[in-house]
Amino acid sequence: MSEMNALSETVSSGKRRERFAFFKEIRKNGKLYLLTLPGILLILVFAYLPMGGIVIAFQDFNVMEGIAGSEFVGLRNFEFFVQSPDMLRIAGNTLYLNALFIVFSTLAAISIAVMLTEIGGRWFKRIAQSLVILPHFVSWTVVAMLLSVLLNTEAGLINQLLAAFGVDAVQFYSDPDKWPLILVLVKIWQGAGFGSIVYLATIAGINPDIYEAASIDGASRWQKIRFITLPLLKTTVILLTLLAMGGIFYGDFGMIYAIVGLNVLLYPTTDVIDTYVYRALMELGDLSMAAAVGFFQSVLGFILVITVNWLARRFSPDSAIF
Amino acid sequence: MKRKGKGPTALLLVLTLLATLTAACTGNEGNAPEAGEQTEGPNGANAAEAADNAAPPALDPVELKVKLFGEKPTDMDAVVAEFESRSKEALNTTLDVTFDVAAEYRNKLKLMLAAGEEIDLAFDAPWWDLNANVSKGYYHELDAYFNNDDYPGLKAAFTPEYLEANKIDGHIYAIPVTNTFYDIPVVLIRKDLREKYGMEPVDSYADLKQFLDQVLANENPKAFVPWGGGRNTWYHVFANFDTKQTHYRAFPFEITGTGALFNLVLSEDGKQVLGATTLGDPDEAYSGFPAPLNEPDFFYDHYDTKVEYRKYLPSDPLAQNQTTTVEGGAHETTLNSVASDRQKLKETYPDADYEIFVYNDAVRAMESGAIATGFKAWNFLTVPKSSKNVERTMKFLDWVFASPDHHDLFELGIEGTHWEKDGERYYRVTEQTPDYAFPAYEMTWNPQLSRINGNNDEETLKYIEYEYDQDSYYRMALSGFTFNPENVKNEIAKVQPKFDELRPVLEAGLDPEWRESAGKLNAQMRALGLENIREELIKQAQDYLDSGGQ
Repeated sequence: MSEMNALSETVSSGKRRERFAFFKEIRKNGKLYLLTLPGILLILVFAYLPMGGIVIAFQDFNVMEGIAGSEFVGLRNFEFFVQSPDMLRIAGNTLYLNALFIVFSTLAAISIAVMLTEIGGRWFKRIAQSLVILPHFVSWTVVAMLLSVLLNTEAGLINQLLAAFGVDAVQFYSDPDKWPLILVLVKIWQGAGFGSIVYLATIAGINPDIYEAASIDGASRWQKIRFITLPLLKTTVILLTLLAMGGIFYGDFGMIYAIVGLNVLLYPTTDVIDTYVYRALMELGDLSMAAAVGFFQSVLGFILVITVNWLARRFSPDSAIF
Repeated sequence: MKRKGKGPTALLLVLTLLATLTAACTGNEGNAPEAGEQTEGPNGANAAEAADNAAPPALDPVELKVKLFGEKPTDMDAVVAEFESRSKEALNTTLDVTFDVAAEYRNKLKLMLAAGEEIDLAFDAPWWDLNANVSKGYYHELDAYFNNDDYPGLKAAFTPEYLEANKIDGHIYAIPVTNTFYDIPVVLIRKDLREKYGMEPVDSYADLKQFLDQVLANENPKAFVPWGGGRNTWYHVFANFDTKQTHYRAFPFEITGTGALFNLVLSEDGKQVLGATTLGDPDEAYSGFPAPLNEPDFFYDHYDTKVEYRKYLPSDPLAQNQTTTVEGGAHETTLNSVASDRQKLKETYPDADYEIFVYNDAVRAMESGAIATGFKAWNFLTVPKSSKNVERTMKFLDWVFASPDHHDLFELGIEGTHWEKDGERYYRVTEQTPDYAFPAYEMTWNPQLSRINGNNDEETLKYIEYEYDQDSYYRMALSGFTFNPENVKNEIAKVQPKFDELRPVLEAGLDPEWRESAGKLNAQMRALGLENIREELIKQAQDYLDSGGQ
């Protein structure tokens, strides 16, 4: 009762009253706020304090002299990256591949979650669930090996199969156009099962009464999925997509470098910001230039999250993060 | 009433959480000084007392952290235990040797150095980041420990000439690790196949081509290609060895670290830099050079050969993991790896065998002064600034290099188990040799102490002996020169990825029109600041020559 009063008081009062209400609120629920203190401290120490390190992106950073002793060089560290003629292509690849990954991984994850929910047999369900999650724990280096056994022109499984049917070998490793598809398939195989966990949990949280009511009204299984499960997953989908947007300017270095590596023939479609920067700075090993690119990627990601969140708030207010 | 009851509980909860947090933080802090005390103690004691005390008191125990790359030998712990028991009285030192995958080691080391993690001995190399790491001040300068009677082992194993050639900025920041000053690259030919085709041993490029054609014609192309392996599969083969690199530096001995690789040409007396050219430069750029260096083809016609040899490579020469999928009739390696390559082959095909083809004519004829070198090692050991045990680390190394017995223990393992003596210079492998495959090239190789693998075939042994002979070498131009990228690093960061995009294509012989592609690349690189790098390289090389460098 008293909480309700406090709320209505805050809402109805003017600016001065509001400030006053803030202290009142603290006095009233101070101990509850105190509970959040460890979490806030944690974020402060591990997320906000390190942001000070961004300053090395604007310095000619030397570890021995430290942040205080290194020379300030303004935007010089951003030059090589911004002036590179390939930057548009590489940024394009990064966005394109990540967009494909986000869209198809989400679709696959939702399908898996729905299918797993519909499975009846308890044991079969558990085994199936474990099997689809398993690939998430296979390292990219191993995935790259598996792929090469599959796709190699001379000894690859696929090409041997094709040869058995008298079809000419496909040179996967020389044909960049096939790689966005290959990478998306690999990404789904590797990540969709693991990604389905959140959706599974959301579905489990849906009130069974709704399904029961639908059954009584004569809804088929498919109709229940189409009109109950999927609409109720919308909020979660938008939320997770929003979070994924923040990283859309970060190429999946671990994956692409392990699989494509230094195969220059595939660069036209697979070279992303992270792999490009790795090659550009591999010999120089310059921390400041690398930090500059990282900063650049985060800023763009941040802008994107803000924009998409704004859109989400307009069209589906429940799903917006803030 | 209920509300009041919650208060103390909440407060307690918060306090507990905070306590755990702060405990986690101070836990680390608490450890640090402990480690410091433990390690600083002997250090201080050593510096003060070792100098005036002939028989130093028993040393405090210390653990040295050693970082290497590669796979940890199965019996590494046994060998370390043997070392610890043998050296207990002299050193009282234990070792913590860790191995990382090569690809990760390089980056990990950079991070550990940047973070100041405590390491006592670490592998580094100029083909990774040694020079950059030295210029960043990550490593201790070790001048005082060499040529010093307190360290007799180091004094004997590292001659002043050997150290002089391996100094960086005039000081010893890194300890050279090599057994010879060049490891002669050779082509390994499947002897059994050659005999099957009724051919004489391969003695020229013409013979090699004939052999590869035979493989192409006779073997199943699905599982077996003439030249297995993929990217970087040609090492120095087809390079131009007709002229000694006494007044120029070019493939395969280019100055590295310049983004695009240059041919750097000096006047014949070696005093003046005449210019630097790179892939795709117009013919006029070469006109000021003395013959035969005035033709771009002198430097680049090996790319024509590579196009011609393209058909012998696997279909996906640039694919990642190519080496794991296809086998070959021939491949390139160096003398030191012949024995281990042969061992691997025999594991799969007991009846198969390799023989070597040395493709550098002068070296094949074992002429004296035929091998180009800067008398520089390729691999180095460093003591990072974060180490608090510099003296103890150097004492440890002194012990390793003090006698052949000590040295053999680390390089080859326990005698009688991992290896057997074969005269003064050679060793023989045993069944347990694979259990101690120590990467000696990262830590113990030494021109005077390293034994030669007596299990090599006679031909290979002949060349290894030739390689160990100082008279087989000649000094390359600019042998002590290293390029400092600092002034042009923006240009390098832009040019490097461009250059690296075309080069593997040319190396794999995938582009018959490579001259045209190189011209295009050259124009792009010029737009990205190639000329600044070129100027900087010429300037630095000239400065080096003017200050008396060789």
